[in-house]
Amino acid sequence: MDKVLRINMGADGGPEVKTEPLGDYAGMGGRGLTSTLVAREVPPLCHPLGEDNKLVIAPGLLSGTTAAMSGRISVGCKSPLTGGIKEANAGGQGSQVLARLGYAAIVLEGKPTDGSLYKIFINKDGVQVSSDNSLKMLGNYDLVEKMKQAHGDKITCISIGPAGEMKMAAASVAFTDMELRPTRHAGRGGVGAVMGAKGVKVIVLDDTGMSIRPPKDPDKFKEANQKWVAGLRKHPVTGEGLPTYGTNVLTNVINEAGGYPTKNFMWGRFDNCAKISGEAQAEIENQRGGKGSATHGCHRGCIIRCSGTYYNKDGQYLTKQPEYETIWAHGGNCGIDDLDAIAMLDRLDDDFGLDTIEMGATIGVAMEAGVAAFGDAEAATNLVKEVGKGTPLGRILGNGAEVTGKVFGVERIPTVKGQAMPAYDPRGVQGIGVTYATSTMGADHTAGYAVATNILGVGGTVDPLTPEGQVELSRNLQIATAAVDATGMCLFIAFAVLDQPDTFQALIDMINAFYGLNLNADDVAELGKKILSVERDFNQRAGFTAKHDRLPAFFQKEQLPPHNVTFQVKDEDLDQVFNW
Amino acid sequence: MNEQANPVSVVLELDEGLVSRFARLFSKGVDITARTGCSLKSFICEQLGVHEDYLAQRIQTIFLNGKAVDDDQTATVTDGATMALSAAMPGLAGAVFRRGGYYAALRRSVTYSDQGSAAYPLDGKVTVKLFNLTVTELGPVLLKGGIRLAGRDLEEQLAEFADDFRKGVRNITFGGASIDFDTLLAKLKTAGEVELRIRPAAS
Repeated sequence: MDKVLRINMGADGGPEVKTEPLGDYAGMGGRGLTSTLVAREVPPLCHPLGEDNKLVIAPGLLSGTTAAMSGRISVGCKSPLTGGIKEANAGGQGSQVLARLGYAAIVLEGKPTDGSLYKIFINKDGVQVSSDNSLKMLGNYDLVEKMKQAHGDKITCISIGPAGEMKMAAASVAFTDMELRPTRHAGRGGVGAVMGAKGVKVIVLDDTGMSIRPPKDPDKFKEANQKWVAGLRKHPVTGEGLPTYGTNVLTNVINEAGGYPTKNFMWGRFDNCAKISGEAQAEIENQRGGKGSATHGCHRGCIIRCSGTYYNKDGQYLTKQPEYETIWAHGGNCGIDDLDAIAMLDRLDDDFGLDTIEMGATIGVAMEAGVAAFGDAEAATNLVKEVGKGTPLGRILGNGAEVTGKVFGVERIPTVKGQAMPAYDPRGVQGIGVTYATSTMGADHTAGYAVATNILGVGGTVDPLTPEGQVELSRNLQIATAAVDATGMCLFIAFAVLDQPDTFQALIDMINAFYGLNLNADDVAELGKKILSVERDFNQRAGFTAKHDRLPAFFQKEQLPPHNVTFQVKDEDLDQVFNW
Repeated sequence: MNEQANPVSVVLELDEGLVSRFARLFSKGVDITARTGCSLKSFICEQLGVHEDYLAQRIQTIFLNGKAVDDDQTATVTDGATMALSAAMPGLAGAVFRRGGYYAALRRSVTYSDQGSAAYPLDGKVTVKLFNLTVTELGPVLLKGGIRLAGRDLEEQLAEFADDFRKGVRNITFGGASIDFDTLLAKLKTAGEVELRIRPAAS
């Protein structure tokens, strides 16, 4: 993983392939690499869909190794949804395979002028870029089938669906999973639209003949990895809760707390939430059975196995087990309490190449506008199909909640920096609201997800019960998350790392043994700060100011039932998040 | 208490493995009659019969009337209260709602605080919700002691997993009379409130 693959899609005479050494980007991975490269090479004021933007796809520092949980991949660019820097993160096989092929990043540059659609094939022998207009407007599932026919079933695909081709701001980049299904998506921020603007439909990876990346110190690496795995397995969340119920285990708890955004953030509790909870989902999956039904990993090397496979009533594969945020977005947020209908919406999103959070939030806004009734699953399904077809209504919806709200005159638009909020109402969980408001990415729950800050040693001395304390907690969470995103590690490691200092040390030991380094916790915190500083600087140069680090006004004005709370963190406190 | 004074008794003798099929009922909440006006810890350990170690180690998140509880010794369970119990949860949300956790400050607007109202020992009704791993671990305890719920809710749950229950139920009594599974489903539709007890089937 010592080279960068650059493909200029706008070169005279057709796409131009160049392989470069890492150079100044040496030692970077995942979000650290995507954000640094975008900040350095992309003009902040460029049009996100123009030739000057770049799409960067980068495995994490430990991807392609035997390190457990190291299969996350980062996709970065200037976002067409937010107008700022973007890193969208996905599971699937892409990270491990790309790393084993030796690439620290693929960078798509320029823009084709002839309207052709391209396929990129990468294996141990090199890179082939070919025009293939027969792929136009294929859904991700049909596309992957076609790639299997052409290249066999040992491949991994990185692709866009029709939404990406139509350059919709809610378009995702899909990564195939272990079963070669396009179920894992870098969803947020419209990264799929940027790939579409580059004219690239699919990148096919084949790592046949390539080996696992060797560590500098194999013995120490093996020892650290064993401790790492043992730590994850013994923890009640990573060892029991997640494998049994998946991420949807959160539904009942967030709902009970009154922080479950319901019907476009009008209420904090959804009456029928028990019907779409992780517990209900697990029972359905266990009853229907099928391979990998209730417990399944999203990539090779995953030992938490929080995913699953959703089969329909007839026992046929429908989609992967939808995540908590997806079930919230298409479920409670739209008043829908039918898991089969929600799973179908997830399938459609994956096939068209759409961010499930953005689409669910968008349909919630459209429902408030009266485009469909809350609770009408069939109408919601038809709206997503409109997006897939690219009808005028579909084009509006496919550009996200903010555009849709403006078009239909809705005041309650749950976005920050143009990106829709996920499944936690910031009035109920105010600290998460701080992260929504100030994240460099727009409203993003994962931006402050890595709950490891006390162990990282970046926790402060401010009383956490004060607004300043909430700001400090959010800051530290964002720092820790940025660092984890650079490693290629799944964010679900965070709980075990929080509780078990020896597990956190094992992670640092793995990085040190692999690269021959001597990092400590402070160095990891510095890495996180550096990434955030780079992203923040890009956004400032793109025109972002303090006023963009705010929640929509309705969160301060409208009380959220049942606890009737408003968001109370002051603007001047929000402005302190990045003062370190 | 507003519920039926004498709800119909339903007793099922079934395989313990089927308790997880009641997950949705526990998520929605089931009513139990118990002595109220005591601390949350006392209620959970003494009234529900949960071991102190289990409460301390396994139950990571507790809600009382929808608010996250940090101190189970000062929170008071009163007649008509709703209590929810959860094992450890993933991610930031899990950490935020953890009892007395480092990130509890992030949800202080929905944190339980004792209002200082007087509480007297009283036989009352409490709605208990069980989430995730506590369903299979505490569900049998509650079902053994008896839970109150609407007959239609029970019918809906039994009907959804009818094949499993038909195989796993060894004996059914409804109001003291022995009946078969399909008759039970029919009776539950019009039964009003019932008191359900589960007895483990002899293997």
